[in-house]
Amino acid sequence: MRRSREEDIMPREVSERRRRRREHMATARDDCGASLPYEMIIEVLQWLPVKSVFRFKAVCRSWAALLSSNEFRRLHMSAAKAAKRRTPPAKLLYISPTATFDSTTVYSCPFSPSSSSCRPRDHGDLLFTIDGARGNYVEIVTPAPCNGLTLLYDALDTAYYICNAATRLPPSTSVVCSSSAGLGFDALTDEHKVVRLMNGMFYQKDLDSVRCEVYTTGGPFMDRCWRPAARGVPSSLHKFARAAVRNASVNYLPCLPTVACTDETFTCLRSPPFWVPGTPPTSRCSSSGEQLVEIDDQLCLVRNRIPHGSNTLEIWKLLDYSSGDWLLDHRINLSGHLATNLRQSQILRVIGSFCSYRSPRKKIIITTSTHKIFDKYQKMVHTYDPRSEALETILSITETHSTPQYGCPSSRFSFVQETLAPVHTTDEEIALSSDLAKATREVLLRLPAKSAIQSKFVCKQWFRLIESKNFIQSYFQHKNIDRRPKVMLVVKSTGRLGFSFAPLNKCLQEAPSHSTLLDTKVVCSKPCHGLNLVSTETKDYLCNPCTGFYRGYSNLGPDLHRPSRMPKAEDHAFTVGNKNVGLTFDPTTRQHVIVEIFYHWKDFKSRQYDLTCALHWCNSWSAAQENSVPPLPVNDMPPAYVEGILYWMNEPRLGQSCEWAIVSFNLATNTFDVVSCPSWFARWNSRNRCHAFVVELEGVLCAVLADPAADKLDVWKLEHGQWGRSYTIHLEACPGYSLKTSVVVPLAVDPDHGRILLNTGRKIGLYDPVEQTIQNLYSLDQVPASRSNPHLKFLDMPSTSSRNSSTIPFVPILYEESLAGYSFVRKANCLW
Amino acid sequence: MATREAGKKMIMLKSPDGMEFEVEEAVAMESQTIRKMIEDDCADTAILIPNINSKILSRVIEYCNKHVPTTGATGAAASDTVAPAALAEDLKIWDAEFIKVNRATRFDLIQAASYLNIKGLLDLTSQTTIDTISDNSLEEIRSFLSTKNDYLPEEEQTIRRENQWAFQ
Repeated sequence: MRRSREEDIMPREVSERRRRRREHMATARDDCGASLPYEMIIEVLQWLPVKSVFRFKAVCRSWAALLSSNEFRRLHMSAAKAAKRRTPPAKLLYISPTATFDSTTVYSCPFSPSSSSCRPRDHGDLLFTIDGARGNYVEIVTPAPCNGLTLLYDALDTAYYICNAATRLPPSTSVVCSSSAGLGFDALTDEHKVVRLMNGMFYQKDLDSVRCEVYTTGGPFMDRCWRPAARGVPSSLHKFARAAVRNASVNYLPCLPTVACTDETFTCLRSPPFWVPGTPPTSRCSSSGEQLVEIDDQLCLVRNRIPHGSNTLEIWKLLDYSSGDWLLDHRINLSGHLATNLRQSQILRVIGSFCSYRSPRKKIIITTSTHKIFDKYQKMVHTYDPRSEALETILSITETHSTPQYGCPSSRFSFVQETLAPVHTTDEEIALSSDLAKATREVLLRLPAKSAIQSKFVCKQWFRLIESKNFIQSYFQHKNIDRRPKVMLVVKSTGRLGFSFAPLNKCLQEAPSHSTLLDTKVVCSKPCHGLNLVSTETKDYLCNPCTGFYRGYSNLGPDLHRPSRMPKAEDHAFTVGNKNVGLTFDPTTRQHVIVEIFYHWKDFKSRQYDLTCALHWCNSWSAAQENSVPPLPVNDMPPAYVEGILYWMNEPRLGQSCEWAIVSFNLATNTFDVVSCPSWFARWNSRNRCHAFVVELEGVLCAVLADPAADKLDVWKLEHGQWGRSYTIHLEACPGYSLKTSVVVPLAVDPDHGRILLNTGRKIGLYDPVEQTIQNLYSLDQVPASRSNPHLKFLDMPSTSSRNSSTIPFVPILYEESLAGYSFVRKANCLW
Repeated sequence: MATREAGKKMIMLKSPDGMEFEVEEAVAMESQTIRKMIEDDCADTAILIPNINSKILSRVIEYCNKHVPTTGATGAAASDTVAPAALAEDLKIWDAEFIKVNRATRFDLIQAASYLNIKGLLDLTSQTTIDTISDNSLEEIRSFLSTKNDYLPEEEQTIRRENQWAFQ
């Protein structure tokens, strides 16, 4: 039997099982008897706690629609304000970094004396996790929530997050520059506004002005950006510090300008009596000075006298906005034994007051943050009873920070305020709002990368969909789930870049000719987080072979036009110039980093060498940075990237040691280290001419020893700190792959048949370890030898001119299908 | 479960336009959405599929019927005498035949497959769509998917500038 949705009125008692079914598919069955008028239902429901509102959405479709409506949300908000006494006991909100450091967890806990444990998760309920917010750097900007919303700030990403702890709405971000911000609520338009003041110093153009910008949550897509406040900033304003929110206005220290959220105008409040004109501005991370806070709906100024040696904390209350009269409300004595923690803390902040459930007496809440030892930071919450003047510690949490910290993190605490205030929907949620959109997403996920990028221009919805982090991630997973090695060829192109990427099967159809062969030598890295590094002698290019994205970086190395004192390097398909470059990934700032090692000179006779090392942050516009040098000289083979660490094989012909060893570089800690080679790797000696290098196969670091005498490659795998032999590649019977004439590099392992993709620079082929045979995929021998091609610049070297056809660089590139790439336009989220 | 041992348990699927389809449980469970409901015991006799009309639903069931022995119950596959390779080849031909539908139907099928979470059907329908549009221009894609260009000229310019490499 079919029934319409409109008939569907909520049952009084719904069995648990039926409710679950309704959640899944809404069988739209109305077996509830008594029905109340619509108005009555609203009248009752508006008094529900937030949690129940969400549970009741599962009752039926009409309730779900009602409870999600803006109208209901407004009613609920005003009801919550009217009935303060009926609200559940106040809860504390706190944030804590996770072990993986690139996410932040948000907890809530009741106001009760703490247990002995210090781990964050033992105290409260996990509300949600913010992926992408760097835990160590996140602080809560608003001490008390503004109409239910809390503003968080990730100092490293310079991103703001707005979240609602009561409804556990996931936060939404907005990326901005460094500034001072506050969150306000505009009752007229029913919108939250993030207001920030920026020092004009950040912008070279207007050096002396302070800018005020507003970000409105909600609203149409293209308006979702920072815009200047409707009224300008008064010219008298030159310095600013923290912001506090009271009703509809955002206030700033130290001149105390107020931004009214409704009409976005500034007003200046009279300073409190102790204010001396010309006081140095309050610095952002110090515990000295003053802060603004809202206590009992009134604007208060907290004055910390500890740095001035008086061990007191003064709270001044603003009596009246128009007159600007301030009253000293509390003077908190911190000289007692219990207050030791407060006196010694790096960060001290008053976040508000609360009335406990049992006693109606108001208590003031003070939070502190102290650096204990090494990577341990202690966060504490204290209550202060103004009548008995008693201090009590109610919460103490010890955080461990996984990455080096630049300073004690600021406030981590706030309150939970029960409202249904919505966090504005993210671009992706808007884009995925319909069934058709979900189907479109499935189609787009299967598009080739270049078409997917071009499809951004179909319409705004598609743009939002394709731009979203989630889509880029899903796309990467969807396309690379088989872990099958994918190969393209680097071919010549007439564009600015000088080379382009061609699919292997396309090259197979057309016989290779000199019009497609490169005229500059290039060396390609394996893919690292979706991008490849293509290096020429003078430049490094970060490329996405699927989409055609590239960005070039100039070398920081020695001047190439100067006569080099370098001995003639072995010239094979995997060297370019005197440099050895690798691509790694910085998880903290989420960008690729090029690590360049340059030899200025080396002398194999005296075993002397001189090298430099530089780092290039790929999404930064600043020049490369000099870095410390590796502890051992590296050889001429390209490095391997495995899980955040780059590995090079050392050069046993230089330096003090004749042993083979592996040099590693960990970007997160910015340290070099040495990994010993398998014991099988004997000392290097000039007679056996063995050659060693590192590769990454199946996500594991492998050391390869090439023995030209026996014509075999020994591949060793480093798993769980132990070296184990994984493959032996016999090449005697494989014409064109002999180690006597070329360097053979294992590129990847085919997951289906265990075949190994080998690259010699002239051929690529799949080696079958069982049959010990090679299936050629592509060979340069098909190219008609042409000795008089003037374009082949790299053949000018006299030593190789006699066999020039054998030195044509032929560059297969192993790639991952991804949409990764950096924006060309300089955006506000440029990191430093 | 007792019902499963007894053999073929039937599930009733209802489309919003009132049609009812009786299918084997194994066939219905090709859809991960329905599988979840069955496993959670949320479906006793009939399941209403709210946003898929009877015409599309019947095609979806047709697809699931065809694909159930190879991916679903192992018992059925074992009794099959056809070699797996030949079977896969046979399925491929059947799929190619199955997807020869007009554009609107194909899009409905994608939506249904996405909602019911049937991976094979989703792959088949999406990939077919991709094959037809991937080499087309933006204008053709827009008209094919009946999407309107809602960019202002200057907005489009900005985005093109940011992604200029994709157009080289």
